[in-house]
Amino acid sequence: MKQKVILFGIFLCLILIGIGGSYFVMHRPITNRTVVITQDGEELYRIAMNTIKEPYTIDISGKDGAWNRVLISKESVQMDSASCPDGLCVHQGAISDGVLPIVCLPNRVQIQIIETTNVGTEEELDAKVG
Amino acid sequence: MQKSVKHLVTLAMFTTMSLVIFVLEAQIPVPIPIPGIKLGLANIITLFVLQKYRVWDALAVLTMRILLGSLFTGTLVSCFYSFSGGLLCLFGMALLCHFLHRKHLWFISVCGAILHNIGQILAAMLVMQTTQVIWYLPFLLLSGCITGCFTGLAAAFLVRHWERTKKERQITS
Repeated sequence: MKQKVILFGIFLCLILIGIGGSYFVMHRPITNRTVVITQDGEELYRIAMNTIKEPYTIDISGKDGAWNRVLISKESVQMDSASCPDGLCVHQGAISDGVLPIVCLPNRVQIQIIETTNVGTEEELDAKVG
Repeated sequence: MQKSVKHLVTLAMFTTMSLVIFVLEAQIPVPIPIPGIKLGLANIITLFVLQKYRVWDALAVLTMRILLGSLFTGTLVSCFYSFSGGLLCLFGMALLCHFLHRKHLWFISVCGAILHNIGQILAAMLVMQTTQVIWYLPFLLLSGCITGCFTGLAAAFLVRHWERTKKERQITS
């Protein structure tokens, strides 16, 4: 009987840690976000979002007259317009976190946000170590 | 000789059952968009074999289920994820089975589910070469607690039912 109580206590603790940790992860302070735009796997732009003051657009040209226009602001990034036939990347709208990247498959352009947190990431660790 | 054949066939049956559960479970859509969250129903069979037979039998059933399961549903990478999660889960549960009584099967299952998730995160860290995936751990901890509790209860019911029918058969025969 006593064992049962202890096990139930551990179980409750694990659930509480899970809830607390989830809450922490969802509300963790994000200080630095970096937009990385790649084409054909090649990195074209790497822009820190907190350095942006006014929203502006970037034009990317590809093979056979293909083009993408990226609208980038301090809060979010979106594909403003593109020459691809399906327009999926434009319809996706703006992204503001690193969960889902914007991908334009026909023109092979990818826009991704890389989040750097206060808690410490690899790059910061590398900087400290190296 | 006859007994070993019976044993082999029994284990093959359990492997088939867990494989069917595994493949069917892959078809159930998960409403939460976090990779790694699933019901883990196939663990019911692993737990049951672990309870009723030896650790090595459970290991055989688990290994065959993962190998065949990833052949049917996934790719080589998902096989790797399943192995690291599944083996960690099995060894944790086997250790706990030694110390805890059978009526605490739900707790053993919860620990197994959490260890499974930890194993998968470690594998993902190894494959993707980032530590970012560790942020999934709290969510997976929570889901492991909930789903592990239910699969553990299901396994406990299965064990109880198995023993009852066995007893009835002995009385009638």
